[in-house]
Amino acid sequence: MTEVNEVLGGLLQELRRGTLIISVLSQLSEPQYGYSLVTMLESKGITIDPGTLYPLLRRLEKQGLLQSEWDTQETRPRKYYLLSPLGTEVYDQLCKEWRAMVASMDQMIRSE
Amino acid sequence: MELVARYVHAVISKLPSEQRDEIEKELHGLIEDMLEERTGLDSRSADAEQIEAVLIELGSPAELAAKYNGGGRYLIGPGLFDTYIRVLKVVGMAIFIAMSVVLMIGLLKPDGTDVAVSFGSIFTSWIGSLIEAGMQGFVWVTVIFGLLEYKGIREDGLSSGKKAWRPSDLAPIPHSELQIKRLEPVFSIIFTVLFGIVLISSPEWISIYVSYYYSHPIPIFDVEILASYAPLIWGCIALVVLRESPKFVSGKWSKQLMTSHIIINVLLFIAALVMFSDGTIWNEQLTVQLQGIAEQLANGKDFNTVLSMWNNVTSYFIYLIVLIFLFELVLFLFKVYKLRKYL
Repeated sequence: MTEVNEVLGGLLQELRRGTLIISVLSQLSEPQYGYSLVTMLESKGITIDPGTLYPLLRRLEKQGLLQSEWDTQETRPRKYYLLSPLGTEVYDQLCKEWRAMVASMDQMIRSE
Repeated sequence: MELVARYVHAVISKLPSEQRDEIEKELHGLIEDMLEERTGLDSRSADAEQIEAVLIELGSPAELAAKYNGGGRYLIGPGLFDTYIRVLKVVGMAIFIAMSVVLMIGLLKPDGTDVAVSFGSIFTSWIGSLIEAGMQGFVWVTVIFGLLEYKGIREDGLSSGKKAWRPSDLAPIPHSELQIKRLEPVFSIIFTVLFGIVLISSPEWISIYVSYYYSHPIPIFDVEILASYAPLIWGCIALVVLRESPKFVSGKWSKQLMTSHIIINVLLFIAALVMFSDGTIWNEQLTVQLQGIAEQLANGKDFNTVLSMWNNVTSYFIYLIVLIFLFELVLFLFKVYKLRKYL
């Protein structure tokens, strides 16, 4: 049983990693800072540890999918991220691909 | 507070300097947010235990920094790894051959000590230098590939720029006729080096040995004249190494290899002509010395056969060289002719 759990754990981690980017992009049509995004995703059942999310946000920004702005008005400065036009387009495409993938996966699993 | 600063510093010290300021701000903000959510306090009022819990959740600074650096937590990635292994193998073989040649040179020049003893010490030093040179080779190859990886050069970038790969780029399967057995060049090099070293350092070994206990071996060559040819002999050894090592590396005949093979053979032929043309290289005294021994022998042996053979060999040796050269050349040209359609 422990072996099953071990293998399953590894596979699930990979599976989650693959869906992480869609999850993040989906929440950024409104500006969010890193930690608000963590709690937001958490409340929707997606656990992401901040040590993974923060670097991911930077990478997505570097790729041009996100744009960012520092807000220095509040008690502590926070970097807010928002989908860029490119990011919006990529996100829409990703969603399409995701739905197609889910459909074919469903079909495959059901026919088992 | 101090703990947080130390943690953030540990992370950003592993990051490129232009990103440090921003990530520093970002991490401070993140840690404050996490603390606030868990305890309702900020880092000034939270106690060390609470701060530690948050930092542990974030993971070790090295791990976090690696995530910021975006993967790449390897010295040589999959793009270069195969080439890396291939180069390592070739370098390893080359080192092994070179060190073995050095070992044999050592064996050929015993410094007057007992053969068994000197063999033992030479063998130990062979192992030693093999390990040392192996380490050096490994380190340098690894450092170079590490740098290539760091600079982001991929294998396709090494050879053909950024062009997309096409099936037509595939190298043809070398025709089996074109293949060179890797051992052949190795033996050529080892044999040439051995023979060359004997010629240069111990020419008196090439002698006529008469089994008579008063006699000394009679050298075939005039040792002094031969010594004056030492640079030429070194040159020939270098030429042979130059001729054989590309064969070892590529393992198959190509136009360039065949051309260089012929050119180097011509050069070697010229060198041989230079050495043997005037006949002074032979031991002039050989006849006299041999007859001297014959007079001391009681059994009436006069070495007449040996002497007439000697005279024939020395006077016709130059023709023998020409003959061997031409024979080899014709054979090789025939081989080129046979293989021309695969080249």
